[in-house]
Amino acid sequence: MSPLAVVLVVFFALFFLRVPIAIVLIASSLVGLWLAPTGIKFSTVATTMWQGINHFVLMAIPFFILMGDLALASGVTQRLANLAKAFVGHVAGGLAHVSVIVNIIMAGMSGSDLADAAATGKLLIPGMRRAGYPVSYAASIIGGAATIGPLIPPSIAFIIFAAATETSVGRLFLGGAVPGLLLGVFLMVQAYIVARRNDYPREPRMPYRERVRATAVGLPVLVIPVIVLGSILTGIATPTEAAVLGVIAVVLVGGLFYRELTVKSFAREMLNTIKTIGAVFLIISAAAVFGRVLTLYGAADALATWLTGLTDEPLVFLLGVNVVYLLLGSMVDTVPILLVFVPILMPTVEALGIDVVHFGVITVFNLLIGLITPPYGLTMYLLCRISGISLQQFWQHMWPIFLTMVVALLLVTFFPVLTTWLPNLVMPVR
Amino acid sequence: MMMPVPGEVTALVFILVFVALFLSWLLRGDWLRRRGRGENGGGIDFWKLVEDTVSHFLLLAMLVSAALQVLVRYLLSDTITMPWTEEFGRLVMVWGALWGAAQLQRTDDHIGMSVIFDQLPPRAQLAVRLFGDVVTLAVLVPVAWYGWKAAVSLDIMYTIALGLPLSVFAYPIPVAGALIVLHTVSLMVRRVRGVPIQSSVNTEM
Repeated sequence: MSPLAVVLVVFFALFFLRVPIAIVLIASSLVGLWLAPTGIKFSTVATTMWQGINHFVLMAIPFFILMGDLALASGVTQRLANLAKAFVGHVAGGLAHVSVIVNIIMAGMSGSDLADAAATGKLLIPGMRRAGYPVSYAASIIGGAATIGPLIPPSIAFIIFAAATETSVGRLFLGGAVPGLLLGVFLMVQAYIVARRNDYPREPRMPYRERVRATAVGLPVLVIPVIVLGSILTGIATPTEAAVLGVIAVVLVGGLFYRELTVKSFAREMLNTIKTIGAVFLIISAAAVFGRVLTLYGAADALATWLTGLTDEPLVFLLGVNVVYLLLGSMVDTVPILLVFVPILMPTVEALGIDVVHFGVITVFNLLIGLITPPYGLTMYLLCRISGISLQQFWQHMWPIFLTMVVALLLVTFFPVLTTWLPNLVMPVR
Repeated sequence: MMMPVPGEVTALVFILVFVALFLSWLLRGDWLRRRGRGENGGGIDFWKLVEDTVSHFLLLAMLVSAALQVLVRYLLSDTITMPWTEEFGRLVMVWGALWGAAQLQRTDDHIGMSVIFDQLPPRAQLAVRLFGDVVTLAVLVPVAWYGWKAAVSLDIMYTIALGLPLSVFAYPIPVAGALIVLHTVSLMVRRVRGVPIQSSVNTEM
């Protein structure tokens, strides 16, 4: 058996034995280094680990997660849900539409689907259950809606993609906006059909006076995405700095305007945030080591050669990429794929004349779908945990939503203009 | 070449330490055990206090350095410059990330793939988790050891903006590695004795 095969066997064996994913990555890397014909010192493992997370751009991740935690703790998410309910609550599948709209607006402030799924799930799943929806449906519609988060700017996934491929973060952000909204519309149409068929409850139609009130109370929340996105698109702030401005905006709106955020709850949410980034960043740093080992054995090149050898036709290549990504994304975390596999596909992407922004959006879209598909789907696990349901129950309602997402993905794959139109309009390449 | 650490950085660190202690004091219910409650009786959970205070400090430092960076560039660029904010932000982020990772191991909250694991009978689950702990030890003992040696070798180089030894970026790996090793040993003991392990991740509704 070749050393690379041994590395992969160790990887999957440990992975299925519930060893923490970060440890799986380092363990298989150590095996790879140990078997390598050219001696590589083990001390490079530790160095690669800290260097793998020593990027200023990655600091946006803790801030987005903190922002999501604070938005929930300060009543910002609740006001947003009330606002959406005032307008779409009475439509068939009302609260499902509320979930999608809240996630679209949250997407404009946060860049992490895990943060969005946690913040909206903790609020909306109990609400939907009280209203008479099956809990597993509530969890799966939020699973679908949370994937909009990283497509609509700002987005951690695009930041990492940009860092891995040295592409413009701004153009990627703009490229994801239209597909994100498109996915939102698709999910709402699907929710409408499901609600009509299953006779899910509607909320009572709100009188206009109530709608005006919910709008007035909810409007300050809409300032937050304007600040975050506005500061990035006008060039005032980098994504990382915009994320910290967003945290400050949530603190101001939740603390001074709604008066629900206390210093104590702020302190509490900080502790939760540190733990979440501990989980995510340990995986990122371990993935950096694993990436080096895969590069050492030329695995990435082999995959790229295989994919490139399939065809010279950009569209067929992209469809092949979709299949590979969907499979990989259901097995491996987003970050290692972005850092390890994407850079080696880049020469082929450029050779075939595929727009990097188009490729980036397809990549991120695929990996986001991977986050709600077993065996390895972080958002799926999180939502199962929040709602207390099993994977089987989650997937009972998830599969039509999953198919809707795949249709949206194929549409984005076939029509590059959906991704390239907005960046070319706002930030043309000179 | 070594140069002095900017004075405002030292001042900022002092202020943030006090703010972090204040925030931990607000959450004193977590680490100050009232007399006669819990299996350990009264007293202070020092480790929890240290974990919380350091976490508060690191996240506050990240927030303040990124906020200062925008603020100084747009509002105060004529009067002062702070070239160290970017480097300082990265430094506290590396420490914060690995500090968080070490904490998670204490409560066994690192993410793993549990689909097959969940189908196993309890005794097999125990065996599988103990095996995972042994793998964790086998991996992190060399990483911490070689990480320490690699960090020491960086002591002679200095960072550009802060004037600190470059090794300050490298020490989080051996420190977090060693903490995770200790927590793993403790986890193994608790698993074998059948002591329930309370998750610290907040997922209640």
